[in-house]
Amino acid sequence: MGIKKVLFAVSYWEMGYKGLLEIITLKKVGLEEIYLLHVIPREEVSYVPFSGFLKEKAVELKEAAKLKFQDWEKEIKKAGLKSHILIEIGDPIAKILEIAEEIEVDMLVIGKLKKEGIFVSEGTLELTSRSKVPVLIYCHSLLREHEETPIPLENVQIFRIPILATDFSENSIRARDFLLNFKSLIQKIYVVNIIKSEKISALKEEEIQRLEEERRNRLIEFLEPYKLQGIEGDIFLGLGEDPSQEILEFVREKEGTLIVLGKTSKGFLEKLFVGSVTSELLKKAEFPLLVVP
Amino acid sequence: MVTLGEKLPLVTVLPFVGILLSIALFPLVLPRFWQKHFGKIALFWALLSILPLLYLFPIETLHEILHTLLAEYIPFILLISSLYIISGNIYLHGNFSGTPIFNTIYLFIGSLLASLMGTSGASIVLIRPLLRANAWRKDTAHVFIFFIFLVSNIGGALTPLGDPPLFLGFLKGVPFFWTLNLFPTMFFCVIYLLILFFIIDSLHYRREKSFLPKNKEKKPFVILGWYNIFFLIGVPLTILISANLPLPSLKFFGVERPLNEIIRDLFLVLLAGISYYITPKKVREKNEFTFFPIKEVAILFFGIFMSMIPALNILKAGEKGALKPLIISLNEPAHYFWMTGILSAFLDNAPTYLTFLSTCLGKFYPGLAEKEAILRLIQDYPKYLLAISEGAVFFGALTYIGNAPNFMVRSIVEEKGIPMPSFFGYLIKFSFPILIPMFLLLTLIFYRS
Repeated sequence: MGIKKVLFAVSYWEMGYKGLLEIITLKKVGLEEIYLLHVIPREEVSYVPFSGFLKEKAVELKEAAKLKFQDWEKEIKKAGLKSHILIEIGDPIAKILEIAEEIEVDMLVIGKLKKEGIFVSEGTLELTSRSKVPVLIYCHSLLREHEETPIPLENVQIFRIPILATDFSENSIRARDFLLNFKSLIQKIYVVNIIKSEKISALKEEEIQRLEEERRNRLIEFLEPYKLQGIEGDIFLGLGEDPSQEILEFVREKEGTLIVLGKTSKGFLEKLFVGSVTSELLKKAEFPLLVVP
Repeated sequence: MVTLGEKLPLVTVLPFVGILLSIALFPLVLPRFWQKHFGKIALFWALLSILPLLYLFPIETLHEILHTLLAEYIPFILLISSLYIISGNIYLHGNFSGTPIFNTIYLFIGSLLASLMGTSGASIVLIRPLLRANAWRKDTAHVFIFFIFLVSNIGGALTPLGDPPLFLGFLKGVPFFWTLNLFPTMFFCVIYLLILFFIIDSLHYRREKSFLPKNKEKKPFVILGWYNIFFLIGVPLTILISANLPLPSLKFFGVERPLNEIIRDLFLVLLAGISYYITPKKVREKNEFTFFPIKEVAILFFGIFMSMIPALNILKAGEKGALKPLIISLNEPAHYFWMTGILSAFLDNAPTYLTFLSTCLGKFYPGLAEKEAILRLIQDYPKYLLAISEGAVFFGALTYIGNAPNFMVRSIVEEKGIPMPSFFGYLIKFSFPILIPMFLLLTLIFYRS
């Protein structure tokens, strides 16, 4: 496989350019083409009550996006990559997914912005859960708010220290294998598994020891493909009530640059009542995330 | 006892005029400002209308507001939303070629479906297949203009589900099946327009047929979300069954609400909810479905219903009210047909229908309870109600602002890159030369005194 085509769907211009620079670095891992996509939400130009379609506004928004993309194209060309500009009107989620499928991209990149205490909208969550290709949710600079004095965080060279969160599911294995595509960019990798507190509440001490031993062995085995590639790596077994919080604390502690995880395999009702680690991380993390279906 | 309508001065009608003129003018003159602030504008006129009344006549006005919200506004929005949501869950898929014969048959079927699905629902479901069928042609604006005439307006004349004014009439007391009396005029208009359309489309087609794709891949005709047809049928069934349930009424803050109507509204929500839940999201996405148009209608109509309160009360007071000159001047059904019609074309047709229905009731049965007055009007002077209904529904096609689906269709078509005529272009090139002669013929045939 490999990363040859990337679709970069830009909604938040303020972070787009930095995101593009990160994508360009993927040339080292075989990237050939970047598709720049901006979807103008239909409501911004259409269905104006008793008026209809605001043609002039649509042209204006399209033109503004085109000019920005044309400026970005210079960087893409300089790096020796091919670029394509796509500007559409419609439902952003549906359009992004439709185009990703149509042009058969290897990875989809979207931005995230902090809004009302959480880092992603319901739309981003939906996009991530419906995408058939891996989605990189990029954020360039966000505040680390857990610090006493919030400090701005710059996410650059995001594939340097990935933290691979696993529950050993099929999706986790796919996430691990997909991340191998970026091996030449990885300096060190951590593989993390969190045992939920409730899982050990009824266990005796030796049973807990056995469980931990078994998990540790599985983590070592999980890391093996990276060791074989000569990449430095380590494992971490954690315990806590909220796995997403444990993962986040670990990423901050190790100064990880990217969280990688498989798409949740939970059903609608389970997600509704229990939630998923993936969606929790998407909401809380100030780091970029790579979600692999 | 002196009614509220008899006490109100003419000046209280101004906010109603204000909101209707805002709907007519802002989208033309300041479309971007309108897009951002239409909700605030609607709220402004609503408050301007009801706050002075609340100060002057607190108890009667509060009762009127609650009655308008509970008995008219909420059921109206629920019906429109249910039809819109259920229709948005149906997607027609197939390889159609936009030949004149296909387009004519398609418009005919669309005209019939509009009475079942509502003009908004039918427009949403049927516009995209028609766009795809005609995508290979160069000059197709006329196809979509006739679509507005037939599917978005005239086709909705047969049932209260078809067009918002007729549903408002139903809520006021017009029996559900009474609107079938509009069949002769509706049939006349549909046939007149289809013949004309076939001639115009054939002339265009003759110049374009060399572009017809030869080896088009055959795709079977499929209706995605076909099971929603049952939910659509469920809507009129719900209305009919609930109307015949012998249930008592409940009182909410002094406003009487029949229990069967509450059950009807809850059931409509249930139908739309189940339809939405069981239909895959992809079907709605193919229809480019969004809740935005319904939100707009809910906001705008809140303003309309509130600011309409003084005008309707004055009209209901008949010659005892401040609008006596208007009531005296309208004598013949033809007067009602043209007055309701012309105002429906430039203002929204739902409030216009109610205005002239109230004018008519005020003329013949001043002071009589509304439901009773309507039943007597149907018995004694049915032509007047026919004229108001036909004026409101048919003339809605005369401008882009006459009926909500008109601008939705225009929006969707323009978004696909097909140039549609401007507001005045539509009037001068299409609606005036085509529709006005048809309305004159209707007057001569059906309304000659």
